[in-house]
Amino acid sequence: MTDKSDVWQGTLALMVLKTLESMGPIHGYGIARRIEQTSGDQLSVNYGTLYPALIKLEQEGYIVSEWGVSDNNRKAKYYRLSRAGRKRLEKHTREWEKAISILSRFLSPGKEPA
Amino acid sequence: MNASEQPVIRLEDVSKVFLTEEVETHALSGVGLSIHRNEYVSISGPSGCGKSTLLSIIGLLDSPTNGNYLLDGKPVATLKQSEKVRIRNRQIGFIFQNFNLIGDLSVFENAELPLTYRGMREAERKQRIQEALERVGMAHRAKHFPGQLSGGEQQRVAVARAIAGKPLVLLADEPTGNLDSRNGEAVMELLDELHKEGATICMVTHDARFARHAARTVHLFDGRIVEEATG
Amino acid sequence: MRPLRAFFLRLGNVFQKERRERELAEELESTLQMHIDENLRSGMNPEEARYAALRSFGGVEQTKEECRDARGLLFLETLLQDLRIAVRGMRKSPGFTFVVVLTLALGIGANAAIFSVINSVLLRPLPFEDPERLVTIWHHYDKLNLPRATISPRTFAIYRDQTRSFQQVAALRAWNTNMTGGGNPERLQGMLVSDGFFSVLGVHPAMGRVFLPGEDELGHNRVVVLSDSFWKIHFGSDQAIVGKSITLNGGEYEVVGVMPPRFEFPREVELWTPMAFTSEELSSFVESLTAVARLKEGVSIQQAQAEMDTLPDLVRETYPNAFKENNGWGIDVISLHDVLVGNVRPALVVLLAAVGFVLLIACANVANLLLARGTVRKKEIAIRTAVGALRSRLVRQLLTESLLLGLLSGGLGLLIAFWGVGFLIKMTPADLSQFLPNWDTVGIDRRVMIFTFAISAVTTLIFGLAPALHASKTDLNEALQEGGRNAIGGGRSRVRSFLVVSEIALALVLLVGAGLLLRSFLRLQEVNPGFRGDNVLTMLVSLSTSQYDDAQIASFYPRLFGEVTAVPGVQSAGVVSSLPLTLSTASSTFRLEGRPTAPGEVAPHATFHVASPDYVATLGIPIIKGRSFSEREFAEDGPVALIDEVAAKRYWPSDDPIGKRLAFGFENVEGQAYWREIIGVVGHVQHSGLDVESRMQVYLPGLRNPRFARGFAELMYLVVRTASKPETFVPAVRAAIDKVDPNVPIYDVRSMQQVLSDSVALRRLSMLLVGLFAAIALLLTVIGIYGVVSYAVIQRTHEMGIRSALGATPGEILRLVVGEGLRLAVFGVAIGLVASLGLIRFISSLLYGINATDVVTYVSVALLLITIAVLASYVPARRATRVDPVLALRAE
Repeated sequence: MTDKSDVWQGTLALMVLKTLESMGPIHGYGIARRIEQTSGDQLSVNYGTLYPALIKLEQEGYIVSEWGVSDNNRKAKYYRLSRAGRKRLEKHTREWEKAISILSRFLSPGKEPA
Repeated sequence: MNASEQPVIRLEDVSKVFLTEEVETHALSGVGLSIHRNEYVSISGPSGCGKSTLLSIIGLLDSPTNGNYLLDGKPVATLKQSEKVRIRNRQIGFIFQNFNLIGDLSVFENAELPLTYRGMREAERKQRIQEALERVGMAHRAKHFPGQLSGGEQQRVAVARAIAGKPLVLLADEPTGNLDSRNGEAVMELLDELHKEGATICMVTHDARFARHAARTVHLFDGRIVEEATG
Repeated sequence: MRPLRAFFLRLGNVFQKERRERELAEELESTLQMHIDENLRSGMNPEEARYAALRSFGGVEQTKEECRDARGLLFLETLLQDLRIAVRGMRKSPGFTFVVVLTLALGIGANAAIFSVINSVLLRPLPFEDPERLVTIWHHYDKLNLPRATISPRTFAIYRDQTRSFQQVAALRAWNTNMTGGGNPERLQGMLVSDGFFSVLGVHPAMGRVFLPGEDELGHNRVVVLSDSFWKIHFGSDQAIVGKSITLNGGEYEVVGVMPPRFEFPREVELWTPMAFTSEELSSFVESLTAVARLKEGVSIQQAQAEMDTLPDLVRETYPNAFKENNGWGIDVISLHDVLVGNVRPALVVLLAAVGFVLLIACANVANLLLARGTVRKKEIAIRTAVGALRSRLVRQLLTESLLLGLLSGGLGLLIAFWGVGFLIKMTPADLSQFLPNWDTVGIDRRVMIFTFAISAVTTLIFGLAPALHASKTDLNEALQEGGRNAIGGGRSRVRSFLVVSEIALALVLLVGAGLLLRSFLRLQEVNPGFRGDNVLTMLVSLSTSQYDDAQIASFYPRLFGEVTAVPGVQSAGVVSSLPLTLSTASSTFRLEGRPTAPGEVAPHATFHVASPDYVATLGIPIIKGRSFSEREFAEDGPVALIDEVAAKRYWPSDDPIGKRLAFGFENVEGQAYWREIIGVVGHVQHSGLDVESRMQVYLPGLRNPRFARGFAELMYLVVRTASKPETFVPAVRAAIDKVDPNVPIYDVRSMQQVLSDSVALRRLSMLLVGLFAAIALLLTVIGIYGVVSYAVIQRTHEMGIRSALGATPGEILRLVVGEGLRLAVFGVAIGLVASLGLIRFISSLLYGINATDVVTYVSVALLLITIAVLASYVPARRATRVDPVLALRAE
């Protein structure tokens, strides 16, 4: 299971968790908009990818959902971070930072990797 | 070299045939070889030439299909299994490529094993093992287990095990095969010293560098001795 | 464990598919709507807004499809994949699968079989309304060694009328009756029941009615209620039975009702009729009634007991003449269920523990097999890990394999249980099962099935988890670069040794239990019953007192003996009112002439037996002194009696009892004692059982009290001493009785040997079953030891090669390997001995004549296990000595 969508899903999951951490309980639509906004509209979130990711995260216990009512009075499912989700977010954030710092050393010109 | 002196090991026209699924494999064909006291002989040749079979026959782990083998002047073909075990235990010291130490036993216990089987008393055993371990520079590791040692150290323990019983002949089967060159050299130097001190050594190796350590090199090819060189 | 949580959630999803679908559709719809709202707000027209939203969705249906995949299919796919791998693995090693499934199925099946008995007998509530409120009331006489006695009509009336704990109290008494009028006379199991009996139990008739108030009065009591099975078998389920008449003991009884199926109280009773007391009976203190009562709502047994504890004082105050001796009289309230289950409960609990142990041993064996296989599969697992399988994923796959094995075993175990239950039912003699509640429901029901699958699942976890965790912990480098290993050995699994040591310990506990039970049983066989049981035929011969008057009864027996002894091969014949070991005894206090019992003193007390002159000789009870009755004394109920040696020693330790006189209170004639002269002393008989102390015995040639005398005639045991196998005499004896009166029914025909054997049925059954389980345990343990040692030999082939090369003789190798097995055995035995000492007190109630710490048993069992461990290691050890050092050393 190492195809591209998996990698994409991996980063998407991280974005979802981060979004939930900063926004608090929020519905799927809100998550999608927030990710798009945060990326400066460079990313466009496909619901066909987002919702499966949400389902998986919920099954694994990283996020919790419940039905609620949105600002403009629509019934919507709200997601929020669980404790396990918070831990996973911390761990993955660290890993990403590390990976990025290594990659950037590779990619920045003139510096040989040690 | 005094040719009239009785050789420690004398092989006459020795053959070994393995029968596997109706195919005969001639591992050795008509090998003749004598090794005298305090000789250092290396047997070399490519993989599958019959080196290890030859060494197994010399070490009484295997019997020739044809030919005679005299160990210390006595024919061994007619010996009973139990007598062979006894001779193996007293007259022959083995050094293997993969050390063959027993993981559950300490360094001391491993070296002690042949002497235990000989029925030697504990006090004497202890003294001999102490000497042997000191000889190979492993006395300080006596209480360790093989898993805690490096390959070179393990092989030195194996050497100690081989010499502790003061055997007639030391048989070494690719003793450096599993060691890096530095540790390999160290083991070879140890064998050199033992030879100088009077040991009779027969070593199998495919590595020409190490074969040079021996005074005499026998080349095997396809189960036959093709060349003997004295260096 | 995240994946495990997801696993269960997905499992749930499979079952909640519809709801999930609906919720998903709702969620997507609301998202779509929000999108549209947003688009509207940014100024699009509604149609534009909708299309834009749909576009950004990339297709709602497609999204749904993706979500379905994420939710469930993946799970199903992996499960199927794991199952496929598991099935393939099983097919690849059918021998392994067979051994594992058979081992587990044996353990599971035995557990399910025993549990099905426990389920019915111990766990299932009695088939009555609110059965936990049903209790029985008993008397006990501590000083007379009489722990459970029936109650008298007089005390029954007190308990019924003057207590507050009970909602209702009823009494019952056996009423064995002969039914005539349709061909052969038939012996029926009847019950006399007091008013309110059926309402105490809370049962209602299936047809007709039960008894009305007033039908317990003489003259109105000729009514019966039939049991369902009696009605079905004898009357072919006659729908019009109510109102018809049947002839019982020569009298006409009207059938007023039929009870529903499964209502038989006590079990196997065929009909009930009202108990009608004469006024004389009502005031009687003769104890012949069993009392059953329903506690008031909210009253506990302890509270009822506390109330009953206050009654003896009240009774003594009201009836100063009753209970005046200091016999340790008291009243017990015992739950009906406990009374019915009785001594079977400890036996069942021990059996359940025994099969539990067998299952644990089976688990240990299977775990060991899986561990061994795990080692073989190390490389496969290493490769899987190397290509990125998570440890949890591997554990899951391995557990799936175990689960499949567990389920297969559970299925096979259920089959074994079906067979086992049949076997258990067949092995349990009717004597034993007759009184067990819900015995007719013993079988595989839903609860047993649930139990079976629950233990299969738990079993899977026990035997599968350790190997799965162990195997998934593979060190990659080590496994993949096996060639480069430096020191060999060192991998001897502690887990495997631990498992075998536990197996040996468990087997030892079982063997100790079986050994103790066996030795108890053998001790019991050595007990002298007090009579010679060989070549004696016994049967109940019942005279209907409504057809036989006193004179006819008196002349019946001499004619009977005449005909029976005329049968060739019959040596002698006699009758007795209660046969040894049949639990049918009557006992009473008595007076010794010239030695009145002072108030506060324990009264002389004995069981009494009406016997014919030749009874004692026929049964082989030794006459120690004096003589037995004469024909005339028997015919006329002469004023004589025989006592047993225990009574002789007790009351006449220094003088000769012959010629002394005694009198039973219930034989008083018009208030005057009926004195009987002791004419003989006979041996003591183990009347109440081989394993309990029996009370003193007095034999009488008849009973002076005519009412009792007639009652006894309805239940006399004929005993016949034969020259050869007694069973072969049954037709001839039956024919001889027919010559006297073909209308006399006989039943309960058994040899005395059979009676002896039936009396220890429960012990024999528990011994055989525990023995059987111990044997299975031993077999499994042998397999376990053999497996572990063989495996160790294979693992250490290389080491054996080195040792052999260095000069170890075959003898030394043999010692090394056998020593390994011996070491495990000694460990296991030591642990097992300690465990036994702790656990064995639970079976002490099943032991007889030996200590629970019986040294002989412990030592022999320990030696047996050690010997067997050595033998089991010997075979692989022989193999180890044949290791060819050249091959072993080259193998690496």
